Amino acid sequence: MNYDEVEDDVSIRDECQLLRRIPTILNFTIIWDDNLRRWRPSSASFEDHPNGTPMSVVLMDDLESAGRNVIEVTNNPEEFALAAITAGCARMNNQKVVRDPLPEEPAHALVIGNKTRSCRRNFAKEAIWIIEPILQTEAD
Amino acid sequence: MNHFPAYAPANELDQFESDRLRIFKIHSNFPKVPEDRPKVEIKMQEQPTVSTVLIYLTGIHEQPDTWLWKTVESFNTLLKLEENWDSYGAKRILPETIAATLQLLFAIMDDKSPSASIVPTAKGNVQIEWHRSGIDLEIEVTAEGKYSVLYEDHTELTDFYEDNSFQQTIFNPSKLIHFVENITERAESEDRGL
Repeated sequence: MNYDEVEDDVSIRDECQLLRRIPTILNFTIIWDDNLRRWRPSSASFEDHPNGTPMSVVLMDDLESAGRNVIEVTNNPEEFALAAITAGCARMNNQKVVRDPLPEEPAHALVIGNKTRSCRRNFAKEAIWIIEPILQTEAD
Repeated sequence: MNHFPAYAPANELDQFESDRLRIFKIHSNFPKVPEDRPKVEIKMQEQPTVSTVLIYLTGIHEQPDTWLWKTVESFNTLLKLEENWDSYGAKRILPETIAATLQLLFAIMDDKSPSASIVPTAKGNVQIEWHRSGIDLEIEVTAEGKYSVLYEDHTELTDFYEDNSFQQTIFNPSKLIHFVENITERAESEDRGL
């Protein structure tokens, strides 16, 4: 599929939260940002698939419309936390957001665009926790 | 053979088998390791029953630097990640990537450099990052010894550098040395209460 020709889906509002699973590996996928004074996902959590497929997310709006719980997205809350950026944040970083419903996940979507280092860093800094990771320690 | 540092965990020592040993030597034409650094052999050992590789550093006779030992511990953890560890199809981290990353760290760090976060990426690369003292520095290293970098000093509005090309190699880390020096200086100033 030529993702360059895919158009941004304007029916996904800017405020819609895009959910992303984050493995709860403290100090690896979840890092202490001393500048922000909080634990947050590493920018490496916001990459495209290794095979080139755009970054997978789940649309919070579609989940809520279907009466579903965010817990379903994590697979296992003990192994995965849930972070979210907004569709507006993605668009501000030159990305397109498009629906890509799957049989196993009807609320699935793709974030399409060149994910530069600064783009991923911006995602990581803007991300909020929907399901927080279980943190055993905090940075000094 | 008995080259293990005294601080290696006992259970890993017990599982060592000399006939499974692979050695990645740092060759003499890797020009950027400073002369006063101990020469390092990175020995990768495959576990007999599971797909893990452990790292042992030899040639280090003094107490290791704080950042070095923490980093080696991190690398050992990364090497145990299996395919799809992130649920989005992430690749495993190869020993070659660890070796390239460690080589780069020896070139850009000194004894006083603060430890970095060591992060696996979906493509199987290793990302080393610092977020402190008003500075963000992220370096992503590939198994081929190439890297991309993002540096931003939030206290200096014009100090921003980004290279996404992966054209630079670990043998050309001059900019990275400067970035890490900045982080180190800020960390030392903070430690002195300045």
